[in-house]
Formats: sequence, C-alpha cells, structure tokens
Amino acid sequence: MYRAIELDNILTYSNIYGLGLTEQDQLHLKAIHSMYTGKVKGSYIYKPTAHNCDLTMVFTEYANTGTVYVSVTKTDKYASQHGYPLFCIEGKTYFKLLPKPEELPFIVALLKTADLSVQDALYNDVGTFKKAILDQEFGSLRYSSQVQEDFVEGCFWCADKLKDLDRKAIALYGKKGDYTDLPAYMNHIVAVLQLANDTRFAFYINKRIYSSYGTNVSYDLALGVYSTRPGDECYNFTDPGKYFSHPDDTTKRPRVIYPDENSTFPKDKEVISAYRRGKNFVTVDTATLNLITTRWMRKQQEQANEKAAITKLEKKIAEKVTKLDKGETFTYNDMAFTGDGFEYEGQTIMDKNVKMQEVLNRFSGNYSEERLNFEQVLRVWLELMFSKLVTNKKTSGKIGDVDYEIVLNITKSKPDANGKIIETRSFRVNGYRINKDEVQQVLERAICFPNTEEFNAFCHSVAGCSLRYHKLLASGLLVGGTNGVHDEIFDEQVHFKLELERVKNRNFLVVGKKKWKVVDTNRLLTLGNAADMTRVISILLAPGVVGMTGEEIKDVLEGGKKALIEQKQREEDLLKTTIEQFNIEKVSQVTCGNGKILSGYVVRGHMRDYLVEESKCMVFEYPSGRYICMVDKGQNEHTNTARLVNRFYALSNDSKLAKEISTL
Amino acid sequence: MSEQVQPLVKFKIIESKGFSVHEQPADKALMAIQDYLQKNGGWFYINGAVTKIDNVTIETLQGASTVTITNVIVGGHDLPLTCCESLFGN
Repeated sequence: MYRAIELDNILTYSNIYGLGLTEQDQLHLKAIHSMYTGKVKGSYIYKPTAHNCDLTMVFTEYANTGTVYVSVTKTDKYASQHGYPLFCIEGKTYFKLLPKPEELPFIVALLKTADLSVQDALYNDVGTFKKAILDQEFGSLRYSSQVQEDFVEGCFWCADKLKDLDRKAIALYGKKGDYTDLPAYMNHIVAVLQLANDTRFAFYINKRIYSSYGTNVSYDLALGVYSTRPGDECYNFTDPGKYFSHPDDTTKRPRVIYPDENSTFPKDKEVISAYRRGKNFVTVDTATLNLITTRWMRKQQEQANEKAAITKLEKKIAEKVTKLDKGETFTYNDMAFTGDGFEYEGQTIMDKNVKMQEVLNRFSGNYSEERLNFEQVLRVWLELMFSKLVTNKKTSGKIGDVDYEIVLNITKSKPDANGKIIETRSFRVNGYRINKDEVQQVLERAICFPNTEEFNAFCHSVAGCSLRYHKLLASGLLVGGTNGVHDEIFDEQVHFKLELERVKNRNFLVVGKKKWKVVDTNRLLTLGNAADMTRVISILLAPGVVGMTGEEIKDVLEGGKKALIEQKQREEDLLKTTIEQFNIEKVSQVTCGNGKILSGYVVRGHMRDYLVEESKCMVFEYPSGRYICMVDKGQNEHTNTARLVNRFYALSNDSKLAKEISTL
Repeated sequence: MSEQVQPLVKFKIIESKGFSVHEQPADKALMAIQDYLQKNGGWFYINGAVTKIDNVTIETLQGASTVTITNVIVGGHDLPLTCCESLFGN
C-alpha cells in the first residue's frame, strides 16, 4: 500500500516524477529531511504546488529503520471509504498502489484516448488499469496469458498513438459482409502499431464459426493480436491489409503469409498445410497459390479414382472367393487360388482339411494387395491347418516340394489315487515328434526344402533338439530377458547371459572353461522370464536343475555379465569394421521402385546394389525393392550380426558367388 | 624363418554361434584355415574379396589387411523370408 523509500531519496522521489517542484516546495522538503534526520516521529502532509496530478505526500517514519514511507492522500469519498490514502489522476481515476513514475505520462495518454465514463474509477494497481481500459477499447481478449500481457503492455506503451489507430478497421460491428468468402483458417491484418523500439503489434480479424448447416455458415468476427520484432520472419510482412494463416499456437505469429492482397484462397486448409510441411515460415504469392491448389485438386481426384478402383477390385475378389467351392479359380497378387489350395512362384500349398474359401474369408473386407499377399495368406493357412489338425487328429498335404503328414497322438494315463487321468498330446510330422508350439514353424520352413527327404532330415534334427533350444544354444540364455533381473540387495537391474552347450544330447551350462551339466533344462530355461535374483539363485542352486554352489553362482554372474558386455562390444566392432570395409551405407525409410518402404544397409555389388534389412536380414535389390531370397546353409541359428555380416561379404562379391546363390 | 619372428596373422571366422577372431603365425594360420574349410566348408575372403584357398600362400596372408571365413549362403525359392529362416543341413 505504501512505497517505501530511503530517507535520502525524498528529494529524488519528487524529481523523478517530473513534477517540476518550485523553490517553495524544495524548502519544504528540506525541512522534512532535517526533521527526520533528528529521528523525530511524526508525519507531514505536503502538497506540491505545481504538478499534473493531485498528489499529497504523507511522510511517516518507520521506527529504527531509517526508512520513510510516503503515502498519498486526498480528501474524497474513496479515501474516507477505504481509510487509507489513494493516488488520483485527472480527478477521476484512483489507484490503491502508487504507479511507477515513468508510467504516469502513459496513464494520462490512455485516459485521454479511452472513452471514459463520467464516473470515478478505482483500480488496485496500474496493471489492472491497463487491462480494464484496453478491454473497454478492444473487447475481451481470449488468448494465452502471455499474448494478452504482450498486447496490454504494447498498447499501453504506445498509448499516445492509440488515438491514431484506425478504429473503423477493427470495429466488430457491421463488418460481417466483407468476410463472407474468407475461409475460416485465414486471418486479415487490419491495423499495425509500431513502438519506438520497432516492435510491431498487428491487429487481425478472423472468423469464429459457431454453426454450419449446408452452405449456411454462422460466424462471428473476432479480433486477435500478435507482436513481432525485427529479425522475426514475419516482421517485414506485418502490414495492414495482409492475409496470413497457420499462426503459431503460443505467439500467434503467422507461419504462412500471402503477400498479394487479391489472392483467392482455397477453402481447404490442407492445401496450404501440405505445401508448408517441414518449413517454419513461407510466403505464398498468387502464382504459387494457384499452382498448389491445382495440384491439390488433381491429387484429390487421383486418390478418389484409386479408391474407387480398389473398392471395385475388392468387390470383384469377394465375388470370386464365394465361387471357389464351386470349382472356380482365380489369380491375385501372383497367387493362384483353387478350392483346395493355392500356388505361388510355382510352389503349391494344400492340405486335405483346409478349404481356401475359409482361409480367404478371414480377409473379408480387406482384399488389398498389402493385406492379401503370400506371407499373410500362408500365415492364415497354417493357423487354420493347425486348428483343423487338432480337431481331426490327422492331416496330410503338400507345401512346395515337400509332402507331409501330421498325426496328433493323445495318450491317457491310468487314473491316479484321486481318479485323475492325465492326457498327453504329441504331434508327429512325417513320423518325427515335434513340440506342439513348433509344428507351424517347422511346416513354414518346409517351403525352403527342395524335397521331402531334406525336410525329413530337418524334422529329425528338430525332434532331437527343438528350434527353441537351437536358438538358445547359438545365442545363449538372456536371464530375465531384455529387462534383466532385479538384484534385491543392491536394488539394481542386472543383465547377464548364460551360455549353453549340447554334447551327446546333454545340455551343459558353460562359463569360461567350466561346464555344469544341466539336469532339468526346462526349469533352467525359465530363467529367461526371471524377475529377481532370488529366483535365479534358487534355480542355479537346485540340484535338480544344475546344482551349483554359492561361489560358483557368483562366478557365473560375473562371467555372464562380462560375456554379455564383451559379446555386444565384439558384435558392434565386427559390424562397424565390415561396414567401413565395404563402404556400406545405412538408410532409413526409403521408398523403392515397387513402393516398398525399407530401412537397412545398402551394399554395392558388382552386378547390382542391394538393401539388407536389419531385423530379419532380408535382402532386396536396390533401388527396385525386388525381394531376393537368401538362406544361410548349415546347422545353425545365427546371431543377427553374423548373418548381416555374412550377407555383406557375399553381396559385395555377388558376381563371383552368383552360381552358388541361385537367386542372384 | 623361425616361428618366433613370423608375423602373426589375424583372421575371423563367422559361424554358427557368432564369430571368433584368431591370431596365429602365418604358416599355422594357413593350415588352420585350410583345415577349417575342408571340414566345415565356407567362403574365404582376403581383403573382402572372395578367394580360392588353393591360391593362397603364407605371403598372401601376411600381406592381407583382413582375412575372413564365412558360412555359405544359398538362394531360396524366391519366396518371402518368413518361410526361409534357416536351413538345417548335415
């Protein structure tokens, strides 16, 4: 409520108000000064003789601080109501808190500009006053608080120019007719205020649509404002009469400006959005606007035509699918469908229990090329084949060059003491026992074998050691998965890997040169899902699993951690040196000639260039995108880095290895 | 040249469990590579270029920047890789 100042500043206070004190005033103030120097308590009411404001100073000493408080007082209704002094300006406007001295001239200017009511007005402080006066002038502002503050401050500091502002341009009444054709995303700058520091405040009109019914659109005109400084991209274009769109959400500054005033703007905002994609600020003249609008309309038409064509094709395919059971056939996306099976690249796939109509019905509603492709059809076919196998307990068929027969044997145990009977299911593929969870994977690979004999050899291998084990033998068991396990004692996540080895059908846990025989591999493998160290230790200690001692477990942990880190580092180094050796380039999300979008490594061969995709090491001709099937030969489940590097070497020498890699 | 003064040759074998790096005197390295290729098959590269092992001498190995053995890759049936993950041979 009071402005505290140092005693020595009494004279300064009067001066910085620019009040123009007379000699008499000066004498009075000196008397006050000497009074307080003697530390006499009391107050002094002083009314300067020459100033622009009614200002009465009351000096009150605050005990033992040497600080003199100055308050103002005027004998009027407000003062008597509130019981404390107020600052008054121009006889009608009162403030509870003293304005800053430099604010006074602008307060006076604003009061002269604003259409004042005849009644007295009381404000807490100058900030409240600024906002109230400007709200009165320009209507309520609905922006973020930052924009509002800037606007209020800006208008205040150019209050002396506000009276020159084109009020008619920004009046909110009677202007709707001029904006009927203006799209809702466009804004029209109607006035610009420039401050002494060259900051520009742009006042703009936009349409706020509140209802739309057919061609009848009801809207209000709203006033907005943004500020811009020299150096901003939009500064030089901030002039009355300009149009802009796509304002920044926070500052409201334009990101698209239309320098030509007579441009015709597209109704759809997306035309401009597509043009400015990736750019922070653009100007769009009439010629550019016409060009992008034409291109947009052409693209919309093409998309509509394409969509209509796709819908027509899908409808046609749906009709053909319904006729498959009647002996009709059809070809789509390089696949030839019959009632009993389908053919792709010369490879026939059929099962005696599976009808193709049932497979294709699962794609119902979406027969697009992206969805109805060989991989997806084969996947669905395998799922259906397996579910029918479980029901029928037996099936046979052909996948490519491989004939198969699968039998599901169900054996029931004798009743136990409680009369409970345990049912065991086992699957045999061409006579070889395969885990239930791996039957589909094994059959999926049948397509890679040139004859049934080689497929049978594969089944024999899987029967002896499942696909899952093979992978673990090659890459090790990552304890706790990718998240690691939680060490409860040190409260940290621990990452380590256990190496496994298989010798004469026995599994061994290997750390360095030491080996431990694994008694119960299935239980050991549950460590892949272990969440905490307690579980890890209990499994490794259990004699029925591995039977390690505490010291040995400690070595395993240390060795495992070290092995994981070292393996990762070695793989990174191998990949890096190979990439450098063959000058391989890594690319991301490139669109190939056949429309495929691929990421991976580009390898320059002698015959052509290739793109090796990272996750599954698939190889494509680059830049056409044609898939080239390549398979690692040998009993293996490679680590991904090894497979990648093998391909880099082979493809870089494609002309010399083309005989062996037939698909090159 | 005695074994002690023969420079070491570093060679990589990229195989089923990942890869391994070996460093041996040149004459022993050549024998090890020949034995490995005879037993396991594979492709042999000197400085990234595929090379027949029959044409390789100790001097070739000593002068090479990189010496690598990889496993063989064969072509599939032009079918998507989802069905051609790996081939279990003998």
